[in-house]
Amino acid sequence: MPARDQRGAAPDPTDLRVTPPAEGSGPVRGDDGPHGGRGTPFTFRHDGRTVTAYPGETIGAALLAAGVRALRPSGFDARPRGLFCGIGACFDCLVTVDGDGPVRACLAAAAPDTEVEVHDVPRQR
Amino acid sequence: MSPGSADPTRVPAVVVGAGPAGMAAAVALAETGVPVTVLDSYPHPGGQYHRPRAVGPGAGRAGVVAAPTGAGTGTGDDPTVAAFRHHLAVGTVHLRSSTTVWSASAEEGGCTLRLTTGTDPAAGTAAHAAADPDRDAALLHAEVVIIATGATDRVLPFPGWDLPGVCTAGGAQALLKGQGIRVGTRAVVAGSGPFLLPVAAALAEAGTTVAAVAEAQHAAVIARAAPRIAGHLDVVTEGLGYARVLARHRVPVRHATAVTAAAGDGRVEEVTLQRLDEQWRPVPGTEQRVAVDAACVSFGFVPQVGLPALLGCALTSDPVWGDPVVAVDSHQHTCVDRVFAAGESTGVGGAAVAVEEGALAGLAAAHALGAIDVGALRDRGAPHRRSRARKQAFAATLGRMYRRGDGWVHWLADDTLICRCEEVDHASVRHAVTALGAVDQRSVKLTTRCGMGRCQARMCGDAVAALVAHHSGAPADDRAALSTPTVLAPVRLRELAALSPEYEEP
Repeated sequence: MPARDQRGAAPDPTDLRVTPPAEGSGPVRGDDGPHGGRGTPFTFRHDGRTVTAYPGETIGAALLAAGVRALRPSGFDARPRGLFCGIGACFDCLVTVDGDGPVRACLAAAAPDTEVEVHDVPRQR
Repeated sequence: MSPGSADPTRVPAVVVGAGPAGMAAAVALAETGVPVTVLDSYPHPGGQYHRPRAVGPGAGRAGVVAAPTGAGTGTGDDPTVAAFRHHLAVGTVHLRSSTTVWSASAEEGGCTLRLTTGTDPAAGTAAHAAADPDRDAALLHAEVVIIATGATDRVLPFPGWDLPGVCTAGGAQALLKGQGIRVGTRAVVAGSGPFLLPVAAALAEAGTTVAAVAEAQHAAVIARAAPRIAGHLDVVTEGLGYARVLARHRVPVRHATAVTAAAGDGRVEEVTLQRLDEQWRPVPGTEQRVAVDAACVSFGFVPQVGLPALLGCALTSDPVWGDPVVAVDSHQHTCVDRVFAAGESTGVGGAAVAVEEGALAGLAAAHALGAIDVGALRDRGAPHRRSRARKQAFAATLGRMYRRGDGWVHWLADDTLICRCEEVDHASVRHAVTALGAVDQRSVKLTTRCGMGRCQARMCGDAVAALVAHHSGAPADDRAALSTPTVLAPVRLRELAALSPEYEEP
């Protein structure tokens, strides 16, 4: 089922976050609301806007949940690229974090108050 | 590191990869009393198969998965995972997570592995350096090495496959299991092979509208081999479980159908589903456009053989897929002394095969270290050898069921990207073969840069080999001879510098 509000309201069909099943260590903070069980949310900055993330989320996952699919322009032809392999093998999802990197958004954990920027490095043939 | 060892960079045994094969190998070794160091690129052990949930309750426990499905993805009771956890808890297995081997060499008396820590160089050094002094060791010398590096999704290129929203089926599964995030609200799952079903079922259970599962193989081809898998009740039952989930969500499963194009403004907005003939050539006039915000594609898996190639292990061509795989003997021993390999790197067979191969590699490594005698090697290995033979035969049958046709190249346009990293299109690859005399993957790379980028041909190598064969009319070249990288992962200059004894941290 999609993220279900603990109060029984209809889930938002556009919300990509799935509520984790209540398994293992019991209730954690942030257990109420549509993303119950994910812990206490925090924010980081991406390309001039504020993005919400939950503990353990990767930068790529948090951006996807925020509706950001195009993560960077390709070097030669500036074609938009996003999460592709999702496991660190393809290097399409590169971003910079606080000016350092590039890092793979599918692997790097989101961190509070960081500045995530588009890795835009034009190349010429 | 083993407690009390004088030099923390010298260890008896290293297992590279903490998926099913690596965990089984580590457990088998540890049970003979050998201290084991396991290196894994990810923050949590489990590999792609037992990918742990990274978010919410139970985060980080191998085998605790986030996928809220009843579709067979729960692996918490897996005996290999449980045994691995036990050895981690009592300290007989030492796990270095978020650690990647970027270079390696085999010498007299063992192997040297050069390591980069952190899921990325930038993230890693800052996050982990202070926490654990072991992590500072950028170099390990191991008397025996067991390679269990796994596989990545096999994806065939198609027009628009680089649009955001097009992703691998494994990537979609990783997002769902690891992060509890759906890749989209309306998706197609396409490609070929049994892996499409659990991904589609998990997405459907998570609330994504799965507009279609498009399996390229003809149902008749699959049905022909079906009697030979009927005896494997566990797998058949699992498959039926996914089919039931898909039926409940009214997800159409179409055979002889592929996604032959994706389109959209800055992201995928629609895909073209098209019928394929027996050779996987798209049938004109059968195109159907489907609105989606995600397309999850997989044509099986490509073994990761960079590390064994670098260590000098002989590779061979997989008899079903043609991929380069590590050549091993019945003890999972490679041609390099004291280097063993198990799991997908020796040929894709799935987790069930991987754990048997891993256990056998662990026992053989223990024997190489003198921890068990030849009798124990034989006796303890016997059940695993029987099980391995049976499961390998099953995996080969499954591979033949989904053996791909050559006609897929006809869905490529001239300007379809083949190499995503270096942005080399189909026309350039064809030109290299037909006009510039490129005869194999390597000469295409040298003439076009195809496969020269960051992913090191992980995404395109298989397609390029097929295109060379198609455009030259020659049979596919021996790809096993072509896969020797020099560096396995991006590494920072400061990590290179740190290997020098004169280096001081600025």
